[in-house]
Amino acid sequence: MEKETKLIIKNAEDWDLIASIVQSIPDKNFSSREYDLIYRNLDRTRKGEDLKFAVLSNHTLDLLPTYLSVLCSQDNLKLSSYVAPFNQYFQELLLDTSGLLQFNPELIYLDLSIPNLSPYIHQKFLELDSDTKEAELNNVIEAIENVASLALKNTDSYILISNFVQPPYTQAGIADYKLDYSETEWYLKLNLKLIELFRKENRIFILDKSRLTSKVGSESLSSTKMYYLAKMEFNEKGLQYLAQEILRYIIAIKGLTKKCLFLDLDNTLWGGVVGEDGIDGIKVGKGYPEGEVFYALQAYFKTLKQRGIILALASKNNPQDAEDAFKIKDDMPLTWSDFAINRINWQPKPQNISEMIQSLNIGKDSAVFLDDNPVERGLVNEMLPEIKVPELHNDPTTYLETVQSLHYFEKLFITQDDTIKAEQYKQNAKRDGLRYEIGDMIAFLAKLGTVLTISKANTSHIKRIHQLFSKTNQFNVTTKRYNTSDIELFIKDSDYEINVFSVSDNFGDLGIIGLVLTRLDKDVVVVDSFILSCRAMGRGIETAVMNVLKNKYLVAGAFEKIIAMYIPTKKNIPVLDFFNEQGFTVLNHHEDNSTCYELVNVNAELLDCPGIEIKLEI
Amino acid sequence: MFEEIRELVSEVFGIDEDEVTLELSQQTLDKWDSLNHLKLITAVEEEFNINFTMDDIEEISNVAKLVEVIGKYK
Repeated sequence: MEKETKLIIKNAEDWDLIASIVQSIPDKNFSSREYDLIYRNLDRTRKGEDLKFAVLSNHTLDLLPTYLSVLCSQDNLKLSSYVAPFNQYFQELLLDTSGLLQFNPELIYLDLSIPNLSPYIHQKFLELDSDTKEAELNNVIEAIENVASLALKNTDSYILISNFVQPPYTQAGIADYKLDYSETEWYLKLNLKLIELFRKENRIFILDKSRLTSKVGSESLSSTKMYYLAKMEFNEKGLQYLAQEILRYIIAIKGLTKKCLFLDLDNTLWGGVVGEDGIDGIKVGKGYPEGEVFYALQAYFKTLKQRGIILALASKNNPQDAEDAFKIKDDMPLTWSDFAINRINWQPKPQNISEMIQSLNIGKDSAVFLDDNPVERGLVNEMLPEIKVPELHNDPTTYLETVQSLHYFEKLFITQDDTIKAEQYKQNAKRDGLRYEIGDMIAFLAKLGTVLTISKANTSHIKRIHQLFSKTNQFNVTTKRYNTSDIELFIKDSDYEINVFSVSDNFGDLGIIGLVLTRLDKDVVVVDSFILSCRAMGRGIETAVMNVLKNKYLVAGAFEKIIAMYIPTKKNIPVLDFFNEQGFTVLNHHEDNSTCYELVNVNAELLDCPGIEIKLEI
Repeated sequence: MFEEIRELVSEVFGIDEDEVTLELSQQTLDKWDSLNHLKLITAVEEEFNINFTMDDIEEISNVAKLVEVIGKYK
């Protein structure tokens, strides 16, 4: 890093300025000193935080926040951190007055390692009989279970638990696999048990340190000297890698997962230029090196689609060439129908991408653009700075690793909804086509044949509800982000009502696309959250839902009025006038620009919403 | 070389370069705690491409010692 850049960082008064410098440096290949400098100044200029992060560990991880804070600043996330004293994880979770409980983190990273948990396994494995090994295994598992259940009980944090890394050499050497109970087996069983224990627990996640180590190598991740000097199991490089893995969870927790990947065609999805080399000339498929490179890439993009990421094409080709390539070359993992939308023409790509973003009804900052051509990347970067544009180097064999290492496509869970989401976006594009055809909104809605089902939420809905709370930005009146334990509480507590709504129509099933959370306060109903996924906007669903609420609480119900709040954000412009349109009147404006509305029962009128059939399960 | 060390030490401890004298030590500077000591060692190893021994690391208790130990390798 240049001396001048360092000086700017040292003198910066504004957190955003430092974050923008970090963002402008492409490879983030900082020395440990530079990380430290950036971290200290990020922390100095930070006002408030987006995420409180805490570390519990039985080895030294005091420097982890340094690396994690810097990486988080790439995505404009302000991190505040707390590292609990070495080996005090039980005390920190037990005592009300502990630093950890006082800090009240949103995410706890628990990283325990075997040397401390089980010295016998670590260094005296060959002295133990099989029963003792099994007993030690159960001790370790019990310790983790105890810590986890304390954390669940005494905090409402997400808990990220690292799994265990095989030592670089086994104590029995190559004979390990022939032991009655081998060391390798012991670690495998332990990691397997962790998966089984926490699979169903919605607040606990596994950080795969074992996979990280197999990818990078324990020789690069750790320094023996630092271990003996300071019980540091990770060196600076290792901490950086570890922070990158933790960042994946943070992105998912904060609902910053990208929704759409825009792809170029020539030399990005296949080798060669289809317009010049012809369909037979492009390189993708099994059996020859360049073909396999692009085959693997396409197969990976297909998995992103299966995770619920929308794939779209932004390429400069003759549209017919592109479509023919997919139809004729039938040994490609991706098919023409995998793309929810495409703009294949000779217009500038930023323009094409903007149009597609509008058509898909997603935010600009929820898209990633991938193109082998640096000029196109530069142009999109320049014109649409909200879109993430990863660097691709000249060699296509590096593309797959580049794309896989991105942390933008992570989700905490993959739900039934995700696997069919891409399909739904495509149906939406078709519905959109219908809108142009018919030209008349009412006729359009009638032709859609919408069936809206409103149901009282139960615990099976928690994951989907959590997704809606954490990921919906546009049609979201208060943008409150609740975690899974809050949601569970709303479902159980009789003072709250949480209703989810799902939509199906002649084109398909959209699944659960929205929710209303209300709090019942004597004779007043308070709308805490009203959320509608952007996939279902613009067809009167919100009005239909509001009619149901008016009817339930005011017309047929015993409540005096409904109170609702609009809290403006950069993104929830679509609901700026929502309560007005629904017949509410302004109660008061607050200093923070939020507005409080009310609707008194005598004024409650049901509004017309054509073409929607409503089914109630409440 | 002292200039380079001075810059590095000031950066690691977050103090002015003027404050970095040969006499500056673990006893006189509160910020020179065990964690920052490790940061200092890591930074010097990176910057000067040295691999300190455990003894070296123990010995470096003030800036004068730091300069001396680096000198052994350069």
